[in-house]
Amino acid sequence: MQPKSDPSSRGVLTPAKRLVLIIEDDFLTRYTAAEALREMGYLVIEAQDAAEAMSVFTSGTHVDFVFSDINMPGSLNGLEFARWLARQHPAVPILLTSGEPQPAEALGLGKKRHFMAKPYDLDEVDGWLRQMLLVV
Amino acid sequence: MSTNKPEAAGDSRTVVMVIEPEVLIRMTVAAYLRECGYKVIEGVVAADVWTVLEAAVRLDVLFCEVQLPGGTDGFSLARRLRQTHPAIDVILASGVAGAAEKSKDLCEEGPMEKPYKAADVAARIRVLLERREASAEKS
Repeated sequence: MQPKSDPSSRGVLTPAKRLVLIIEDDFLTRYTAAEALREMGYLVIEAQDAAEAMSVFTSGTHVDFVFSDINMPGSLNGLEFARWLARQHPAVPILLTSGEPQPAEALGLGKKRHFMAKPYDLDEVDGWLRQMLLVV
Repeated sequence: MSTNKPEAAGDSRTVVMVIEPEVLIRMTVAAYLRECGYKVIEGVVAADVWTVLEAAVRLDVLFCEVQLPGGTDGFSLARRLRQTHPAIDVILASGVAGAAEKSKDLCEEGPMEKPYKAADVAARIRVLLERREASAEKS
């Protein structure tokens, strides 16, 4: 299931002020996704790896949603970061993405974790955000 | 909408690229400049600037930390950019206080002046850094 947002309902749905943390090591991919989500009305923080994302959380910044690549350089990949997030901030949902096939660990992750393959459509990201955050 | 379309057509806002390797400084300065009305592109290393320029994204101002990872520091980047893209204004900043002061200067000249003080931006960054350090000590 890959939810799509209904453009005709954008005036009703209110993503504004929801803070999304994007974790992506590829600069252009990160910037493109972040800018598209900002245009949709989300507040976006950009992190290039899991260490930066953990730094954002430990600074006390309130994050509503994490959108993370799985394959990243650094001490933790996206799946390992998702495990850290589940322990430290279990209420925060995470959408994982990768250009590789869906890893077994990302299957059946429940309401707080989902997987979406690359290349992704940014409206599809918006759809997952709305579903996982119940932004209505 | 798909990936790899870096800039929306028809966006007339002044484009500022912030190159800052420390995520908490980068996100605070970028958010501040966005509130001031700028379109902000966030980068980490000097190479990100060339990626943007090669993608034909318009860049009006480069806001850059002096000390950068990756072999090219802010001074070198500014020198090279002045040779290749002289129309791009370059603002070099150093550390938390420098970033706050220079971003405040930029906001005063920006399209939506707001009554921010550089000290407030610096204080916000320092609080975030201190919280992170306190959290790291506990774990």
